[in-house]
Amino acid sequence: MKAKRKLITDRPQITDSEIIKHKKPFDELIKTYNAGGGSGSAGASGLKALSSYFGWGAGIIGALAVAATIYFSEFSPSESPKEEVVVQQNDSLTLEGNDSTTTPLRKINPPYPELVKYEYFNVKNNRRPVTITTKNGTVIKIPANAFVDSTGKRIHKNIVIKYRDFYDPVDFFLSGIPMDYDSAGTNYTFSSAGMFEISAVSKDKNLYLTEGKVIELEFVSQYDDAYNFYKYDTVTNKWEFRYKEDKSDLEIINTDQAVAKEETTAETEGDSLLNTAEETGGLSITANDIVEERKCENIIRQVEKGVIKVGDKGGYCFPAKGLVDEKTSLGLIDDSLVFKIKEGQNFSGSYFSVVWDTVYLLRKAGGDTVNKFYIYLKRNSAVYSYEVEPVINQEYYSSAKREYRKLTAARKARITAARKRQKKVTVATNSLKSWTVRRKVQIIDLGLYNHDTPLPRPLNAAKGPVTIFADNGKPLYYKNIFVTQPEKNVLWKYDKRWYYSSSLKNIGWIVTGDGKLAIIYPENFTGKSPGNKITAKVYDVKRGLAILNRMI
Amino acid sequence: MNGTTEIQVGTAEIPPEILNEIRDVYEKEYASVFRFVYSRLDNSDDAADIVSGSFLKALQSAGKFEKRQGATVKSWIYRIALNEVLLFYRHKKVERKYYVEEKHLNRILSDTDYEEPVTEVLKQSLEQLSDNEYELIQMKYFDGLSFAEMASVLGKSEESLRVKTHRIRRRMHDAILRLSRSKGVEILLTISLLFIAVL
Repeated sequence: MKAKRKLITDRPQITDSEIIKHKKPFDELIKTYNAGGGSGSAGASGLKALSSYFGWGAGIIGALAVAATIYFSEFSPSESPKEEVVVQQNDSLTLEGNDSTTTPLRKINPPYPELVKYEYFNVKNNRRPVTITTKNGTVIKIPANAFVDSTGKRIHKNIVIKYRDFYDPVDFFLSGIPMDYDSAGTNYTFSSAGMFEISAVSKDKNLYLTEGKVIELEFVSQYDDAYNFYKYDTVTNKWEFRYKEDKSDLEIINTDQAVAKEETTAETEGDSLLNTAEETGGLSITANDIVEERKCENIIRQVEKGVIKVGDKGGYCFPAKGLVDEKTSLGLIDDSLVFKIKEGQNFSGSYFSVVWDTVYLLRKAGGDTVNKFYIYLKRNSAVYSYEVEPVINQEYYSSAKREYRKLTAARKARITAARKRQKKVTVATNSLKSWTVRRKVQIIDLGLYNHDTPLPRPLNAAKGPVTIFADNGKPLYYKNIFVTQPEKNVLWKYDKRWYYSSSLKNIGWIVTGDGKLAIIYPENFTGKSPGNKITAKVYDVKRGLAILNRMI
Repeated sequence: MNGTTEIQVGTAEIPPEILNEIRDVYEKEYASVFRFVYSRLDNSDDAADIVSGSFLKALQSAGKFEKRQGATVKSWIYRIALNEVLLFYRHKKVERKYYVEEKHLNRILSDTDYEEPVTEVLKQSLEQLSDNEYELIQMKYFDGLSFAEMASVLGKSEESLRVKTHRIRRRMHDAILRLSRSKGVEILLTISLLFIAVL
């Protein structure tokens, strides 16, 4: 039987004095930790060891994390099961000079590794091309026979694609990915139009893209300007410039300026699309909901109970999860309110397979007892309207609408907040973010990529004090301070000296020594704090992130 | 906010009590950690690099360290060091080696009676264990960690480690008996063949 390891019993024992020769004073270790430079120090030798571990090709760190996770699956700590991965995937060593304008060497180091999430896609057979659509709507086109293992052997089966993307300063913060870029000795920070990471594994082994194969992405983004495209080099821990995007790389998702104007006006006035529709007595759903509608189509004949009209193939469903038909006398299909298209109109069945930008349902007073209902379907500049008949008892319509509104209020609030924040005209997708363009990307190796524009330190920068105090007056321990300006999609990460824009709105935060989030609100940057003090409000992580997401 | 006084960050981001504990472990346990690493590596320079690197990592992650379920800074550093060794081997892509003093081998079998010395078969049976099983034996019998310390390093309960170690030892005992027997048969066959040849 082949031995699984070599056991050697004839090496002479090492003595204490030999061990002590290797031991440097602890203060040297601290010095290395603080300044990261001391040649010949214990820390430097540790650094040498670390850099040797991580000095590999792109994607290897991710592979290590996966491999180490599996190896330690039996021994993983019960109290913090992901900690093994933390140490290996996210270790960082900061080499910093005396000023933040020097080039720091950082590695990927998420502040809360347990919050690092990937999307996983199983590719059972890659003998044929595969197309993947991510949660946010990015399309990944993988050619046939795309992957090989480290020995060059082609891998077709049981491939897992790992993907994640990052769009705003909170995403960048949680990812721990360095956003620094060095150009001609000057350090810049990226203003990003979106970042993504893609890797592939099979049976615990990291896979690589076959030479000559190209993965194409249609990467959804909120910014319709041409940016630079970079790849993160895990050997040098720096971003490498790949190319400058051309306008032709950007496919505009929504060009309907008329709709744009209308929606922007509604948002400016503080109304969402839903509110606008409600004022005219109707309901509105987004393109996202229509996907559910299509599911309803096939079972529409099941609607029998408590309704005055039974839907047919012209029926139209509105999601209303949680409503109980006995209680409200609504006609429900698969938890949806149902209408049907009134006969005699030129309604095409193919409309059910269209993902509309917007769908309105409007109610118009039709006399003493009868209301008329119209459905409006909008996509780009095309608008269709049809009269529909509700398959619910009309006397209950108002109460049903109220209940429906109540159930969807939270969702509406999220959509409204997202739209207000972005001030963009968009197509709603499965996520809360809204996208204006699809950026066409071709990659010839797996790894971490970024659409960015490097920005220098904020203009009119003011220097921030090192000591930050909690609102109870106690000083807060921290390693890095993060600063963003909502007007720019950029996250400044400072180690020692930090700056903020004295002319723009700033939001800052730190991870405290005990792992909480302390937020410096915009008003605390304005110099109201007495003397040298700047204060931050401490939150647990979940709450802190929710607040940051709301503010940014 | 302009013109503010700058304060050197220094080690301010490391909670002082954790910093003191790391310093304490470094001063008092450096040799133990070194031996722990060295017994898994070829040479002392690599071991020194890994030990320094492990303490540096501890400093970097000090803010995240939480004392839960008996976890100590010492066991946490052992764990980091163990991970570092694993990374080292993955990077080097070489066969894993362990260095054990021969006199320590019999610690595993201290409460078991064998008529013949079993060092060679014991080595063979240790080489057949899975990585995780071997680590348990290495930590317990060669690194000299207690079950409580092992539990803290590996993030498992003391009880489960006791049970696992017991089972591994029992299996090793059976394997040793089998190997000894087959070795005995081999010797007997060799002697018989020699005897026949002489005749």
